[in-house]
Amino acid sequence: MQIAYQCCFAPVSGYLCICRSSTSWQCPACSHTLSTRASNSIIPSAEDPSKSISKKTYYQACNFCRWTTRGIGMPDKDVVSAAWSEKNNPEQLRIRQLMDYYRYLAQKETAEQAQRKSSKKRGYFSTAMQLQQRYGGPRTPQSSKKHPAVSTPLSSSLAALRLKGSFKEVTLEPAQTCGIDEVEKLPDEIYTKKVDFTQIASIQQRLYQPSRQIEQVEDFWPRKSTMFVKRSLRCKKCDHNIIKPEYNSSSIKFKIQLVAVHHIPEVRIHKEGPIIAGSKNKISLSLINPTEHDIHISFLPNTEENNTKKSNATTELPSSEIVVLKYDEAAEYISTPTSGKPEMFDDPSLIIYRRANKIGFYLQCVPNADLAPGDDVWITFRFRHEHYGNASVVKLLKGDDAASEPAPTWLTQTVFVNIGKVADK
Amino acid sequence: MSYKKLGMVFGGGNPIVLDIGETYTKLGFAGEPEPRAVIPTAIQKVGGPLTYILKSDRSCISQHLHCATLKQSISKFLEKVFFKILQINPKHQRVLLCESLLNPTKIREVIAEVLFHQFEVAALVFAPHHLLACFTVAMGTGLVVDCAYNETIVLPVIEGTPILWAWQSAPLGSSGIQDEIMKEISEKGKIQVRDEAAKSVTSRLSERVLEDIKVKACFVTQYERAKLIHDGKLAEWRKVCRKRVGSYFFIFSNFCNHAINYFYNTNLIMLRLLYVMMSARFTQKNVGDSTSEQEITKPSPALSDMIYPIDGVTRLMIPGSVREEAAEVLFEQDNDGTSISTMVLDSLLQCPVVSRKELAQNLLVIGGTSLLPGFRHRLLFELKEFAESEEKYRSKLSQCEFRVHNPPVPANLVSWLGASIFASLESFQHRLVTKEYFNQHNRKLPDWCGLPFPDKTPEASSHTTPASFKGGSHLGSSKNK
Repeated sequence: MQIAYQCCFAPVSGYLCICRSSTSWQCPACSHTLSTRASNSIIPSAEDPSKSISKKTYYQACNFCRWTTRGIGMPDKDVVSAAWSEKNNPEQLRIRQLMDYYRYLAQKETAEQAQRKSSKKRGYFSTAMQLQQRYGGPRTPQSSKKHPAVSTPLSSSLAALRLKGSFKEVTLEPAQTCGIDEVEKLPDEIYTKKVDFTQIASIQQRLYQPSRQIEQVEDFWPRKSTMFVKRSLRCKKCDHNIIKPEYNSSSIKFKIQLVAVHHIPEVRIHKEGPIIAGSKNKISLSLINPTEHDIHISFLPNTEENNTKKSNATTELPSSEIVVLKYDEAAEYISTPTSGKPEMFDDPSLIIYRRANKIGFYLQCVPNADLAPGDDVWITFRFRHEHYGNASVVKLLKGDDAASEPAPTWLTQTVFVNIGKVADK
Repeated sequence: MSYKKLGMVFGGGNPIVLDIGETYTKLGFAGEPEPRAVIPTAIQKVGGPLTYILKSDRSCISQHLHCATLKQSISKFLEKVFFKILQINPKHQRVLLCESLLNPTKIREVIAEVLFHQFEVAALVFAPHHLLACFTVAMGTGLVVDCAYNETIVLPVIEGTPILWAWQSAPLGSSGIQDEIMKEISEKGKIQVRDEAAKSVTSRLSERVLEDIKVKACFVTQYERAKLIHDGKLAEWRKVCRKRVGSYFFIFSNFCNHAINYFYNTNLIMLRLLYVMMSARFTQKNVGDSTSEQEITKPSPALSDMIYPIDGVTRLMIPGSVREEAAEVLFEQDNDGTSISTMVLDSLLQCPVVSRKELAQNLLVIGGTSLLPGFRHRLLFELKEFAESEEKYRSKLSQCEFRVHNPPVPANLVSWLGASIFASLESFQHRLVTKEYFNQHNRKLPDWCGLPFPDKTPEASSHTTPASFKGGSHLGSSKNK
């Protein structure tokens, strides 16, 4: 998951795309996704008024803040996929007109310029000017003052023709202004009415629907939820497709199978405790098996420390092997994970707990005596576990052959753990 | 389905339009009627507080002290804008940014550098938002009043040209209103945790709470009520002063009594007489003043007190008078007689005589603060009142009729919509500053869009419709000061 996030915020490519969905809606109060709810209502039958029939109706409700479409008086719908509508902005038409008008003006401007340019190039313009100065000037002094550039009847009509031919003229009604009497006045009740802060929309709620900016809670209207579309993402090195493009992604799944998190057991710190330098401390770690096979883990001391990281504690590793059960997708949905499984005998001095594909175990470590309180304590060890690769996929492709259990390869992992800081005495 | 194509449908091809305000940023694509989102101009670490990147940092920026942190926070903020909210790859996109006339050159250059070098946008334009606002009402001439978070700027626009010599600005805005709310609450408000006894408020409330109170409860009251409030405040102030004077007089008289007792035998009649006269005058004055104090009336009906829930267990008792008195900071005149109304009138006085009437008829009020209920009504009322009554304006502006425009979107989105319209035009292309230009010119932007580009023919810069920015060079040169 984390990897996916890093990818999506890298400035190289945003892989999610946004648009408005027609089926999914968001709560205007808390921007949570609304869910459709059904309810039975008993209405008198149409044919026989004495009888009553029950009818299913649907409305939308927010699971988070309990806002419902019934609260604002939106009528219920008879079918699940009925069209819920977003309120239209009444000014939308005006805005479209404005845009058309300005586009027209811009086009006209460029056309006029192009015309002026071309006439200059061909020398028409100068000829026209000369002609005008010689003949047109004294006869029509007023018109030449008004239009010094193009004023002869011929050229102006030509220009008009050219303009008309290329695009349609757009006109716009001038905007309405209001004087002191038309502008909205404060209502009289504003002085007497008590302010109920819960009934007035906050600025976040108002800006959530920018063009409407609802002020009262009772005027809330659901907003179409923004849909996310996953775009594909490829590995820069090997050009593998890592993330598949997908509509309405509910989770991010990696298409590529060979990611370490799917194969290597994960080591986590289970519980933090006080660490005292120079004496024996019990550390509890946990192991998670992500593979579909039970794995056996044996611990080895780490002898070859590299220069970058150094442990500053001696570690006493468990000598016996630990078995971690396989990852079972179905187990997540069963409430009692141990039921129906063979009980395993675990040494309680070593194993803290065992739950599905997780196991908790103890380590003993002695941090170096010269550590001061507040210093980080690093321990290191190695562990060996078996690895089946993508054998299960291969098996699936070849056909179900139960007899041939794939042979494991053994991998050794080196682990450095920062188990915490040395406690104060 | 081709997903690349999908991206284009969702606005990939249109220029990106950003209106980065001091508190809220409006962002979307050109040619759309409303912004995609309006978000706080802030960055937030996980679990950390919201840090506004442009707010209250003006002084630092002018001293070029925090340039590095400014660049960092701007790039972080823009990352959020592009990748999280607009969900677009800004590489090879065109960007239009609305900016205020008083936007420091430093900020715009930092933004340009981040956009060009980190996000690799193809080209960008900074456009003055007062001018863009005129697009939404299809007017070339208008008086634009922008009432924003920190300050109010009044700028007349005549035939698509901002008249820079007539601009007016004053630090009247939401931040002042929020300060006023805090002041009133710390004086009269109480805070209560669970069922404990209510305590007075000692520390400053968070800006979020103050903003919420302002948005939910405050309004701009009517002129008559405002006058009463103002008189009441003045009387209170006088009372406080007089108390001080009175106590001084008490000490003085005590001293005199002792002196008289001491000098009585020496028959210093003159001194006694002086003392008697003074005390008589003082008492007389006192009596006269106390009657005038009784005449002061509070506006009626009085506003009832409110209870604001801060969280599950904490409640804030707010005096009702805050609701109308907080926004008065915008309209009560300071020592120089500056309020929003006088700024508009002063600006008109500096405009050419022939244009005054038309400007007065085409007021355009924009900015988030002007969304307070009653704001436009009060502004129009005061404009009319002052133009008729005050000597300074009566001779020159009494013929003007003041009318205000109704833009098709709420006032805080007006300049964004104007920018959206402008960016969808063809002439927008001529105004773009490309990355090459930016790099060649020592990472400096041309000041305002009217400056001629070296590679453009003179025709390109002599547009005649309102779509063009004329007179930009004036603005640019004065901005550099």
